[in-house]
Amino acid sequence: MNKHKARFPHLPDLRGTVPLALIFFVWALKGHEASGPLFQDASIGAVFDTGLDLVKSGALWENYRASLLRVVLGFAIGGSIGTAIGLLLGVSFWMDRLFGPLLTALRQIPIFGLVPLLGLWFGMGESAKLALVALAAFFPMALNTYESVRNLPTAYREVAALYRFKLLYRLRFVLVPYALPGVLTGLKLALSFAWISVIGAELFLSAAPGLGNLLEAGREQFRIDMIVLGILLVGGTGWAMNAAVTALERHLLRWRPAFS
Amino acid sequence: MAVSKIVQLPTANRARETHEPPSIAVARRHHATELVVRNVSKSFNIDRRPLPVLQDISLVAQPGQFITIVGASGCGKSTLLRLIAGLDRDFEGEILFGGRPVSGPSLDRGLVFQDHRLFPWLTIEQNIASAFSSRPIDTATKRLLVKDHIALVGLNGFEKAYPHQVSGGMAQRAAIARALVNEPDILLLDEPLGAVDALTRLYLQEELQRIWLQKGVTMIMVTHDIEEAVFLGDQVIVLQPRPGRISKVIDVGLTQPRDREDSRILKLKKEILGEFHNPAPINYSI
Ligand SMILES: Nc1ncnc2c1ncn2[C@@H]1O[C@H](COP(=O)(O)OP(=O)(O)OP(=O)(O)O)[C@@H](O)[C@H]1O
Ligand SMILES: [Mg+2]
Repeated sequence: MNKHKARFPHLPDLRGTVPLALIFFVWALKGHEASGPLFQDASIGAVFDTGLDLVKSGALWENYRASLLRVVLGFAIGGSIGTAIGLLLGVSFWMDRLFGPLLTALRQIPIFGLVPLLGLWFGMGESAKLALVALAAFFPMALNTYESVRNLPTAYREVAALYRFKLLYRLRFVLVPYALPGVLTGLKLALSFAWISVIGAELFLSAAPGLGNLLEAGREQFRIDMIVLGILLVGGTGWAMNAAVTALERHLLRWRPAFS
Repeated sequence: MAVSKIVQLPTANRARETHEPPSIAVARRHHATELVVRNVSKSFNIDRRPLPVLQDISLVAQPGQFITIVGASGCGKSTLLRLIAGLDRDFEGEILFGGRPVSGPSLDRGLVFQDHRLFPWLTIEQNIASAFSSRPIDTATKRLLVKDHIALVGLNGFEKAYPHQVSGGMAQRAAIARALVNEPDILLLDEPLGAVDALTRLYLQEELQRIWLQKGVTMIMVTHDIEEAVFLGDQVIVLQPRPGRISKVIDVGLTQPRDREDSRILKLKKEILGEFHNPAPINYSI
């Protein structure tokens, strides 16, 4: 419960939009000047017109959809494997001893450093892109799940032992709720990394429909308006994904003092 | 363990069918539920050296008896309760419950921890219900049992509250309800009133006594408060620290409920206080 909410219980908190509005304001004022400071000849109007054109031709949706599909698929693969492996290592002492160091070592490699290797294994096409996105989602999910599960306090383990909770009950009503805050943090990071790596994969690997493709085309054709449009879409989508997980968090963690 | 669970089941069902108060149900299953602790010693390894925590503890709790344990901080009271509960099996000596050695936790032996240890993500109601998750009882019976026990500890209206939304004393009462909902034969209480203010404390002492009288359950309660120990206990066990050992056993010998101002209570209180000021020499060659 913050001050704003206490004072204006029915108004949404819009303070976070002020800096953004300022940027747009400056852009609207200065953007029309040829070789203006920010985006050269990309005035708000030009970007809007370009957007409209691309929507009409269907090109925008085609590219956008391709990127969204990649992030959803890649995240589903990498995120679920990551959660499973994090859970396994967190729960099992032996698995932790065997594979913990490997996981720690692998996480040190920057994801885009793996592009050449993935290219060798998967070619430069769609599967390599998906593999990159999956890997990007895998590590934050695996590591956050692992950490949260491993830290289950002895106090709760003892209550579970005292009342002789069965394995499934223990998982569902002790381990999962306890680990959930950490797992959700992992989810946020994983989605964000996956989205970044979708754009990266589209820029680094072979050309195919996608927002990265739109950005690249803008660069080739000296179309700043297209680039700016692409950036706005990438940023907006990332923001929306984060907002969605935050809303989910609010719902799932409503038992926490801070959320009620 | 499996046997005891099956034994408990008819109790719950019978209570539901006939709507008899739980106390009668409990009285009926009065069988051998004596607790015997015989020459129990326990040490922890600290910095690779053994630290003796309990030394040669022996006690017997008859079915339905109320035993209180007093002793300075760190003299091993919680450790002793954990051994009886079966949470720690690494000790010397013998702990028998109903004639059989304690080999792990069982629903027959309830424990209320020093901290309430409710799960913060479960409501009060769900926390209490979690206690019988491992027993095959039908949902209607479960609901009835939870409702009864919420009423027993006076938490009506807070069923759907999360632990952080209730006071410390209320959380502790919920923890007591969780421990009682399986109708254990013996309830171990580790300073259950340690975290509440003096007024609430007096009130909760009487609540505990009422529950004990109503349920007929054996209770072993650890406390720092000597008056509380004498007011509630049929027998008061005084522990001396380092290593924790029994320095005195006092049979109170007054019927319950009692009057706090009873001169005999005050006299016993003084006697126990004296025990703390001039510890009697311990005779190790018993
Ligand atoms: N898991 C443990 N590992 C090592 N030492 C322990 C452990 N648990 C307890 N001890 C030690 O055993 C001694 C007794 O602890 P215990 O918690 O039983 O005391 P207590 O009588 O319940 O004290 P209090 O009144 O403060 O709750 C303490 O000296 C403590 O340091
Ligand atoms: Mg203690």
